[in-house]
Order: sequence, then C-alpha cells, then structure tokens
Amino acid sequence: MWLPVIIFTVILLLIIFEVFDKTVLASLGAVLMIILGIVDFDTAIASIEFDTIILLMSMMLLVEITKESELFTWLTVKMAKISKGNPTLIFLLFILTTAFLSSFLDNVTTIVLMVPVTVALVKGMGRDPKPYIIAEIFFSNIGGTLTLIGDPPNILIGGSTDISFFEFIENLWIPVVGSTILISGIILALHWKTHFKPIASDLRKLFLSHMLIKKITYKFLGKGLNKTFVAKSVFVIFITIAAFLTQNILHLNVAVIALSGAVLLLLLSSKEVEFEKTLSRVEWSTLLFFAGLFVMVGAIEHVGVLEILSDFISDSAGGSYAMLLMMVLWISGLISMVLNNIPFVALMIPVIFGIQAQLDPSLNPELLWWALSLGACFGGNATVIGASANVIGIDLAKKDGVHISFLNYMKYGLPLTVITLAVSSVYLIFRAGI
Amino acid sequence: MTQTFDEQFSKLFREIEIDLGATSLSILVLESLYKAVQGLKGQDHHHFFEQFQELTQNIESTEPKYAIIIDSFYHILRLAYVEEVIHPEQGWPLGKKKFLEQLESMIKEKKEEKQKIVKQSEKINFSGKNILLYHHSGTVEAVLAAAKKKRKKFNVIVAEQDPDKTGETIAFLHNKKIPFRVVPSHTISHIMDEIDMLFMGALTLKSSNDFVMDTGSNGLVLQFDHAKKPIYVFISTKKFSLWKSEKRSEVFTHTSQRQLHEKAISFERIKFSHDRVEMDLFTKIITEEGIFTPEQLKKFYDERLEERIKLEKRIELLR
Repeated sequence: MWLPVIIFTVILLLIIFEVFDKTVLASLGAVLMIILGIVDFDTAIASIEFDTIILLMSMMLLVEITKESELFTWLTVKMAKISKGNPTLIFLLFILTTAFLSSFLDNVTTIVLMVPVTVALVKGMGRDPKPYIIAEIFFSNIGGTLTLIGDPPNILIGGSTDISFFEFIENLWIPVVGSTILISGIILALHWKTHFKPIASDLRKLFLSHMLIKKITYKFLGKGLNKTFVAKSVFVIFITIAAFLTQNILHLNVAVIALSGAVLLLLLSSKEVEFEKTLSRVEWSTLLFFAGLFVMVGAIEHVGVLEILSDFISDSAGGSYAMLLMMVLWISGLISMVLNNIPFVALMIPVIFGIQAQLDPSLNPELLWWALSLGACFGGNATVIGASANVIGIDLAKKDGVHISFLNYMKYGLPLTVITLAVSSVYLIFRAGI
Repeated sequence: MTQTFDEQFSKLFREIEIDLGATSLSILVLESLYKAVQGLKGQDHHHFFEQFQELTQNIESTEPKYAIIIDSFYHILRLAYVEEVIHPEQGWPLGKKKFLEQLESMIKEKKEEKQKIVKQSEKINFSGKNILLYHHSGTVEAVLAAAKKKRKKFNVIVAEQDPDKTGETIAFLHNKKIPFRVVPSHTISHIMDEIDMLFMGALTLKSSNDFVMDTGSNGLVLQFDHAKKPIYVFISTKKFSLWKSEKRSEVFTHTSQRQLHEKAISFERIKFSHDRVEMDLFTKIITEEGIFTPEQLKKFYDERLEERIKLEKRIELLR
C-alpha cells in the first residue's frame, strides 16, 4: 500500500530539487506504477484526465496564435500610452492588465509580455522597477485565480469536477478583487514618496516619459499590426469566452469549447500562421508532465491511501467545517509557497472528493474547492520558487539588469501572501455562514 | 539607478538614433515634447520658461550633441523668450496653446523637410550614372527612392563599411529594386573609372567647416577629390551645429583590448565614432533651403550661427 506513496514522494522530491526534467520524472513515476504492478496499463490510461490535457493544449494553441498577431503586445503598449508617464497610472494599469491577461492566459505568458515593457519604461525613467515587477508577478498569480483557465490548479479542479467556467468567476471574484484592492493599495502607500509621486508639473520628467513611450512603441510594435489578423484573433477569443460563460446553457465541456476555439482560429488564420510552427510551440512536455502526474495520483488513489488522508484531514478538523476550510486553505497556501502546486493539487483533488463524501450536504461542500484553489494559487506568491511566473519574472528582470534576490522578493511576497490568504479566510468563513 | 537627466537623455537619444536615424529621432523628440507640454499642469508662463531652459540645457549637454534636436529647442526657446519679455501678463493657457501650435507646425515642417531636399535634388542630373554610396543616410535613400519612382535610370555601387549600416543600405536598394553592386571600400581605386559621382549624407556641419560623417568617409572623399569626380552632400540645415566647436573635439574614440582568436596576441584596438571631412572638398551641398557651393554655405552657416549666439545672449540676460 505504501509503495506508490514512496514512489510519489521520491519523484516529488526529485522534481523539487530539479534533479531531472520534471516531465521525465513524472513519466518515470507513471511507468514505475505500471511496471511494479500497482496499477495495470488500462487503469493507468483511464486515470489520465484527458479533459484537462485537451483544455491545456487548446488554450496553448489559442494563446500562441493570438500572441503572433501582436494583440497582447499592442494592449501592453496601449496601457503605457494611456498612462502618459504618470507613475501611479503606470503601476495601476500594468498590474490590472497583468491580472486581466492572467485570468485568460497562462501566468508565464503574461509575465513574459509585461516585464520587458515595464523595465524599459520604468528603468528608462530613472526609477527602480522592482516594486512594479514584484507587483506584476503577484497580480499574475492573483488574476490567474479568477477563472477556470487562469492557473493550472484551477484547470485541474475544473477538469476533475463539473464546476463551470462561470461558477469559478462567481465564487472567486470577491477574494480576487478584494486582494487586488488591498495589495495594490499597500504597495502604493509603501512607495508613494519614492516611486509613485505625480510628475504632471515637471516638464523634464514628462518629456522623458513620452520619449520612452515612443521608444517602447516602435521597439515592441515595430512591424505594426496586421489588423485583419488581430480582428480574427479578437473574434475567436470573444466567442470562446462567451461560450465559456454560457457553458451551462450550451451544455458543452470547457475542453470542447477551447478546442473548438483553437481549431476555428487555426482555420481563420491559415494565411498568417504556419500550422507546423504553431503546433511546435505547444508545450507538449507540460502536457506529458500532467499525464504522468495523473497516472501517479491515480495509482495512489487506487490503493486507497487517499481515503486514509481524507479521513485524517476530516478527523483533524474535529468536526468543525470552518476548521476544515481553514486547514485546506492554509495547508495549500503553505505548501504552494515552496513547492510546485500542480502535483499537490492533483493529489488533493481525490482527497477533497473523499472529504466531501463525509460532509453534511447542507454545509456547502463546494467551498472546499475554492479553499484549495485560493490556497494553491495565492500561496505561490510568497517566494520566488512558489510559481513558474515568479521564476520567469525574476529571470527576465535580471536579463534587463534588475536584480531581485530571493530575500528581496520574499520581503514583499510573504507578508502580502499572508494578507491575501487572510482575505480568503474571511471570505470562506463568511460564505460558510459560520 | 541615480542617473542625471543629461545621462538619461544621452543614452535614450543615442539608442533611438541607432535604431531610426537622426531625422526620425528629431521628429520623435518634437512629438514627445508636444505631449509633455500638453500634459503639463499647474504652470504660469514664467515657471514654464524656467523649466524649458533647464530642459534645453540638458539637451545641449548630451553626448554626443544632436544639433538637429538643439535647433528645434532653440525655436521653442525663442518663442518662450518673446512670451516672457513681450507678453509677461499673458496667462498660461493661452501661452500653452501658442507653444502647442508652434510644435505642431514644427513637426509638420520636419516631416516635409526630407521631401524638400528630394525636390532640390531634382536639379542634380544623375540619369545613367554610376553613383557610389558610403555614409548610411536616410536622406540619400529618400533621394534615390524618389528618382527610381520617377523611372530615372542609374546604378549604385555600395562601398562596404560597418556591416549593419552596409546591410541596411543593401536592404533598402533591394526593396526599391535599384540595381547595385557592393565593393570593399579599400578597393575603390580599382573601379574609380567606372564611378561617376559620390553621394553622401552627414550627421552635422560644424563651425570648423567640417561635415561629420561615418568613419572612413574622409579617405574616400579625398580619393574622389583627387580624381576630380563630383561629390554631393544631402543634409538638412536643421542639422547644423550652431555653436563654436574645436577641431575634432567631438569625435569619440573607443579603445578596447582584443585577442586574436588562434594565437593569444593581445593588442589595443582603437575605434572612432565619426570622421570630420572638410566642406571645401565637396562639389555641391543639397539642403531644403537650396543647393549651395561650399563658399555659399559658409556664409549661410555664419549668419545662422550669429543669429543663434544673439538669441543665447538675450536669454542669458534673463537668467
């Protein structure tokens, strides 16, 4: 019974310490589970959540094609132009754009789009871009929490349950918006004097800002926009999101909606993009990683270990639903601060199902999913290694000559994460009616 | 992180000039200044005048100095001076409107400047000729593109210099379907008989009566002068450096230690930023104001310089 747990733990440790590539390790774990007879091949294949894999692949295709149309870059540059060089507006527009884009794109893509423009603008103005970059990393993770497709933990939860796209937004917007207001307010207040003072009465600073905005425009949008291509991308994204939001009426799986959108965009943009090239940009290794992970978790579930874990968590809560919610939220948060939250959430999904089976239905058991989502997504903000977007954001900043150390990031990340988890706690307790 | 405005502007101007060229840089500067004045809040005219003087000082202190930008700033400074002295009672909203109108007309004029030079260049007959290009110049490219559009027949020989600059010239000629050949610049003497004329652009004209051009230009121009072949320069008068400059004081050198890749021989490699080329060596200078001989241009330049010095003195008195 404990062999699959040992295999999973060893593989997880090897992933954490980056001994080998995470996809190779997850595949190794899956293969070991089959070879050692813990699960047979058919059960292993059946445990792969193909809904999730197809959803991920389709969203990757949609994002890759749209990225080629330069729509996202145009949006970022547009924000810089609207700000007219006002530091507070730059900050607010950039973090809100980050949060908005992250709720529909993966967080890493958002960070790759936002950080270079931010560094070019803010550093060029002679200001320290660190608070801006840290805030963007933060809001990429916060924004990603809002939707089913925004962050891998939500994709995993959405793929394993019948919770709709709209229900994600309906249930998560309060802690996401609440945290956004609180965190942006705190960062603005902390750095008002040094970073965000208005420059509207200073001709030199205004002139410099406008020069930089012009430079950013030609640097990042040098080739100009292919308006037809952009229009096609916007059209498909719009109808895909509309279909996500009306999923309950359409009675379609999110994966089917996303795949339809991707195929439609591939057809419409056949003149602008090379199919083979676009296909090669899909992160197949990530999809394989997910598949391996599903097999490993399926094996653990198969031998009944996760039932024991469900019982243990339920018993530890001492019959208090509030305590149970707080345990799921804060344990998810604490683990996600230092570990990759994807294996953790994959493991926790069957555990949550187990806990829910023991709960009184009048207690609103669905809240456990939101506790897991908020904990896993917000928790990743605490440290540099908490989420992929953090690592990529710090690396991109370093390439542009802005060094943010582990401790430097954590000085902001940890307290602000505790605040967002506290906001989530209040929300969950309020929703549970306790 | 604590860069001065001089340093910030120097870095930014240099980067944009490398990317887009000096003329586009000057248009971008004017457009940015327009937006900055438009967004400026809580001013009276005197406060604006003071701030604009500070900004002009920063613009005059960049390294390298951009005459084309300084010239634009002096146009605005002249207006600011008139407003400060003649209409001190006038409120800022009205003053701001005047500055914006002035900037708007300057941007328009600046965008038309190249076309004016192209118009003047129609007086130069280069049909059926072999033209040598060396200094990478957007103005010369505009002249050739216009001639090609008018179905003039001519051939171009590109003398190689910095690979990026030569590459851009080649890309331009290819895009415009202008027939061309490329030759290493140190072997020009072998095909001198085939070449009819040399077209050059220039970064600026100094008070020492030298044009500032890409490195290697001086040797090439001397070769053409020796062979008694016509040499034309295409330059806007807005690019003239209207201040007293020492001979070669603003040619920047870059020295670096290098190693030969196979044997470990370290040596010092000196690289210069520009060449200074005597104005007298050129046949004609084509500007938006007309076509000049070197003698005529000297006179024109001196008048402009005198005018600028007078304005500087008047503004100095107000400080």
